[in-house]
Amino acid sequence: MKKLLPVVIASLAASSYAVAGGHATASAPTVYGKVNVSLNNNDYEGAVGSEQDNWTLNSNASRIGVKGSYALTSKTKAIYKAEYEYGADDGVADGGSGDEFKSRNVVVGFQGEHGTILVGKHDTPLKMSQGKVDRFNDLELGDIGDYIDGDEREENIIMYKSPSFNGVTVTAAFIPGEEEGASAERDGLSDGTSIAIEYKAGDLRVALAANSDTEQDGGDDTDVTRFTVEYKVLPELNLGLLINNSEDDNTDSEQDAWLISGAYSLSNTTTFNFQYGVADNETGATDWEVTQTAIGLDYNFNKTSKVYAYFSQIESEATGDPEDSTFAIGYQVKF
Amino acid sequence: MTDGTTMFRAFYFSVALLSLLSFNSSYVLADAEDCDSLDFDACFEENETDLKLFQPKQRQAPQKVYEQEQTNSSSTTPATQSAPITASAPVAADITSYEIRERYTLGKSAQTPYSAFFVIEALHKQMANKCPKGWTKLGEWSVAIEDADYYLHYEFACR
Repeated sequence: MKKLLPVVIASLAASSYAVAGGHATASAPTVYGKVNVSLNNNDYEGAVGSEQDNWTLNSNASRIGVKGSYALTSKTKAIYKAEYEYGADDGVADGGSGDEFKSRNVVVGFQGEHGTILVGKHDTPLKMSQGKVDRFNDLELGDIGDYIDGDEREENIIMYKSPSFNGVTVTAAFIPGEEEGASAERDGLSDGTSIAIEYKAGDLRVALAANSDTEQDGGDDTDVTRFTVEYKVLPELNLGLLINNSEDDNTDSEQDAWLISGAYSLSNTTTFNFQYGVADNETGATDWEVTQTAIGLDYNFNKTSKVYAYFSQIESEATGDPEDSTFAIGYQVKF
Repeated sequence: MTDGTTMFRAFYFSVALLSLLSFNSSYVLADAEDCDSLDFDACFEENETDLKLFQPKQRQAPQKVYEQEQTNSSSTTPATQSAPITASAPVAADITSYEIRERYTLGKSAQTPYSAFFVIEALHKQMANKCPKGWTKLGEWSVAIEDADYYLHYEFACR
């Protein structure tokens, strides 16, 4: 499958995106972004984060980007996007580099009746398959990426998304290893791959995704499988389920995780969010369980801004049974 | 009292406070960006509320003067017999360009008196009529009609 994937994507690109004669019609680029800041009271004992007992003002994946398109034919357009994270709290993007901006998804591609092709740096299809299940996405100690493997943004990714066929879409990506030297092990065209199959019908969304040999925490031999279900049980209640398995041959580690979450609309403006997740980790002969419990409340002023409050706790069965928790109030604006 | 209890009480207070704000019916905020989900392709769709870096100039379609003249009159009188040129000829404020044409022939034709050389004068007279203060030619093209006859088209804008 790894060798076939780039051939399939390249064939679709060649057959579907042939440009007719004539000049491209451009629309002006769009500026977009999100500012999310929160004031957190942290009590970390080292479960997933370093020990701390303090107050912090956090910028939670605040970002600004430019995107746009050029019509190439009546049915095809060239597309581009460059998105960067910045620190709305201290002017420094997360990651410890000290830089004002850190790249997020930066891509260029084509879009037409046969689908979308993007190349560059982008979230993997598996990461995107989580949808809205992660109710505390991007938040300190709330994001499932703090304890569940698989949330990766890959560089040098070539990705294709199919049109929808009876509610089913396929998103597939391959990543060349780009290693150099005679002893390079990852120098092929599709050393890493990621694929997600999604089905949508009414209030139901189901996704099955898999990563093979993609990067996880600096490594590159992690295989991840993820299953996600979201369903609007009631007009005011959305529930989600995520099941995740990852294996890393290099470190001989394995993780089995599951998560349930939900959002209950108390009114047109107010939503109660809840989330419970468990990750069983094994590394060699050592195993330990990590558990997350999170609850929160969103108040939406309008379609673009909200205030929120949340509490999240992650307990670990590692040595000393450390427990990390945070309480926060925050504000988010989208533009 | 442990820190965990304090945080829970603070959270409950915040919940109560936020609940008081829920009397105001307003919009429901979308809680997932298309760009970060498997609907990332929808991220590239254009919306009216998009913040544009700049607005490209949209050129209006030129007003086709000859079509107006055809609806006003059934004759195909050459431009030399059209309304006299006046310096105060009005220019429509909301029209950015005009398109005019004149028939000419490369041989001999009973449909037009103009050769490729003299048809230019006829078109200049039309442009002066529309733009007494001067004009800028935006385009020029020829369309074959029959035999050796053509229409010479000018698109122009008033200065």
